[in-house]
Amino acid sequence: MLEVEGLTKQFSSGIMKKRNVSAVDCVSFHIKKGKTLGLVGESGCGKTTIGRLILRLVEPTSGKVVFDGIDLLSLKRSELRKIRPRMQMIFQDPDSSLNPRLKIGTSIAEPLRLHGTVPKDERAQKIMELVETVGLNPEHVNRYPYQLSGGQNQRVVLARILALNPDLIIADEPTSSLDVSVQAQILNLMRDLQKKFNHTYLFISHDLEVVKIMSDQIAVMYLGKLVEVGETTDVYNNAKHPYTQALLSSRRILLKGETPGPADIPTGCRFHPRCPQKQDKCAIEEPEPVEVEKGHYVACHLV
Amino acid sequence: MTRMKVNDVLGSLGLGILAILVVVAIFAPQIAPYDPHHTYKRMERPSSEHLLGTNDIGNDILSEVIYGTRVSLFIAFMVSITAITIGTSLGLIAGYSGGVAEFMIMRIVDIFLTIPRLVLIIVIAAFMPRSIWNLIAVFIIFGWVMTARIVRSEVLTLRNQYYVESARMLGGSNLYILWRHILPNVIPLVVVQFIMEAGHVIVAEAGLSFLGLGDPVARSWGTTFHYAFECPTLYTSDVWMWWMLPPGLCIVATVLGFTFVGYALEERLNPKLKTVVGMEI
Amino acid sequence: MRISDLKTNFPTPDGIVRAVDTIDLSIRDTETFGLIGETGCGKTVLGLTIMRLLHPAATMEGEIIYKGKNLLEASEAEMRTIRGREIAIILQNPTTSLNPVMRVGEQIAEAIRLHQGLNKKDAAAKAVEMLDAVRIPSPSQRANEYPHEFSGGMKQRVMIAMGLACNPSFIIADEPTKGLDVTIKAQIVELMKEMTERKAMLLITHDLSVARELCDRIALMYAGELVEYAPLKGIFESPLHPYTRGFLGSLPERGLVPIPGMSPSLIDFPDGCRFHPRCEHATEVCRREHPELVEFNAGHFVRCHHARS
Repeated sequence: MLEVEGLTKQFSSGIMKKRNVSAVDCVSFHIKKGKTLGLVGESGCGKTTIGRLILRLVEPTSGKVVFDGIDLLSLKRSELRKIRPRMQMIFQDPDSSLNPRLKIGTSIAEPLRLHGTVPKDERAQKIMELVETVGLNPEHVNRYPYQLSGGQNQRVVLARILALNPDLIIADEPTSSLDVSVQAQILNLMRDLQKKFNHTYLFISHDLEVVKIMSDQIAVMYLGKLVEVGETTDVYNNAKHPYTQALLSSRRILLKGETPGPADIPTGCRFHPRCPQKQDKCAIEEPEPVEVEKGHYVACHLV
Repeated sequence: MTRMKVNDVLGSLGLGILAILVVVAIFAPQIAPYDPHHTYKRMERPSSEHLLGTNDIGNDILSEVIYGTRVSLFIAFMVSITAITIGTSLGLIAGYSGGVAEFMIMRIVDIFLTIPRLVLIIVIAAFMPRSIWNLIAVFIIFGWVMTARIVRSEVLTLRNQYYVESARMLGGSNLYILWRHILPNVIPLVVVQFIMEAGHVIVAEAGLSFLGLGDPVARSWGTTFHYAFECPTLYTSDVWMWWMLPPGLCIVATVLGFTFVGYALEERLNPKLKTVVGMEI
Repeated sequence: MRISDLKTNFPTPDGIVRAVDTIDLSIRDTETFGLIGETGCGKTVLGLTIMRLLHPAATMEGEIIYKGKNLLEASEAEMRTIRGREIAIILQNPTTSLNPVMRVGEQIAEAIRLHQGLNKKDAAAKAVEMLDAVRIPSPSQRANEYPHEFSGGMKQRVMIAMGLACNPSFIIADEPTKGLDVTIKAQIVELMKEMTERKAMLLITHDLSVARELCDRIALMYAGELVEYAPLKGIFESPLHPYTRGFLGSLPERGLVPIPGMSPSLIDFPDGCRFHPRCEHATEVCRREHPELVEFNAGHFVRCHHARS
């Protein structure tokens, strides 16, 4: 459904001395229809940028994104606008994902109105249907976003997306601003919707527990690069990269230091200054991804 | 709580003042006892016939002030509407498009902001034929700048809101997004700007007219002021009390009216200024 | 510290917010007490009430006895000597809690000078010592930097250093790991564990994994009141209250079973048990009668009509 190959985004920074900072560096993965790929990483690792690059909300520097056989990066603006409804995004802050001056019903109706897929006289009924699908009450339609809780607003966002019947949904930390009990409601809803409508998800999160339960495949990202990709069970049971191992250790492996900014990326393996198992080679040579078992890739000199 | 109430009282007071002035302006021919251009006996003291007396060429001063309301408010509203529309449009374009358009617009704004506005207006007005339309034009040239700047900075924050990005994901065109998602969110700011600009123009117009740069035919309060000031016996007698004071008070009342409404609206529309009891729980 | 019958209310245009409603608990000298709850349950207000840092319009009732003294009756001057020196608060969101135009070292030194009467030089030296204690590399150099030069995790360390600078005996930590990355969170938790070993601490958080690492006892707060509190093991292994069970069950690692509905507003509570509209075991009595907090097992308190193990 979605194939990403060598996706790279460089930002230039600095006024006097121009230099390139790569936020995303040569990232490749693919997601099959109806499946979920979980993209895990810490803040500033470039995971959010990947979502935006795929949708071309930000233009990539190089690489290839193929969506359902269509090369997205070669499309013209007008062609892109036509295909966009098939790919949707859920943002992390549900409250600012909705226009505060529009009633919930109007927001949900927006895609229907823009694309005219549903005749005018059937719209009200369609909206009610969508509202029910995401577990809201019909009376919510006449309220404003500030009158609803974060969880309810995220349901509204989902309803609006469903109106378009998209194939691919990129969810960028969709529950990171919600309480755990509400997070569980939204994640369950997303799983149910996926089963029902056969959505393909790219699920971006910093929370490994959430990703584990949501994803079929997992990609772990560190400083703009994927360090480990594989089936969820393989990655969780047989993590090979020291970074993945530390993330999964639930605090038993303490990493030293902090992630450097994308402006000063370490030489060799990007993770080596924090790596508990680093060797001399790691500081010099950048490791290439190696397939350790079927579909399980690791970029580390130790494997 | 009390701050909100004071605010409401001021707001209603301002609104009341403006409403009276607008009514006076619209129904000036019905309200004014005489034609302001008709000449009667000169320099009459107030009497039951001429409530505010007559001026040096024999016009009824009360009628002149009433018609002056028309001129002053007309200029204020014309300038505000046009300048704010221009400013909002340019602000939207600059904030939303970015790139070259933004750069150009903002540099022009910077230039205008560094020029001392009133001095230049006086210079330009001095070289132009004296007409109300020229005055309006001069004020518009300088009136849009602040609005453009304020709208642009608001658009810059709105542009990155998730709901604007969502609208793009839904397949909305740029024009659609601007119209549907960005404009409604800058309207409150624009309304406040409109009110403030109108108050500002009232003062500026009075100032120019006082200097003798106003339209001698369509006499505003400032023009009345100007002619009163030219009268040699203005301060040696008590004639200023009915010739100079009434238009002066009208100017003050109008500016206060606009300011009160402006502040009340700003407080209402800007959630950051709302006083909230309690804190994050 | 013993808190009894504590109530904190805020008047708002929409009605009275009963943010903290009849809370009783005591925290022992060296224990870490976890207060767990979701957004808007009143947990942050409880912390600020203890410090008497609330908006003047807030009203407080009850008693907070600390070292034999009722903090609610203490004068503002007395509170100033207690704050920072006796009881310190480590706030969430260090980005807004640190003064952006003041050097980090000075900010820590300020607190030290205020309470310990040290001169400028000694206080500055003590500040560097504190930065070193919270494992900030090259502390004497970092003390001269401004907050924006610090990363989120480093700022949180600074907050901890500030809180502990005057060697307080009681610490209130409000979401000290909020917004931090997983690996950084692990470091901060480790640091807090070490630094507060011999102190009493009230840890306010919504993050059970953090509470589990740090706390000796845990209380769950729902709609302004405590619904259950017990030693760590009691909460994790034999939770009694349906809310506690639901809260645990909704964690991703425990199967992601959500609690239906949402928390009530603190202005308008449901009658009877405040949790009953969301509770699958609710019966007639839950709708009618507000349950009391009772000791179910030794040291394990619960507020439920149907508590059973």
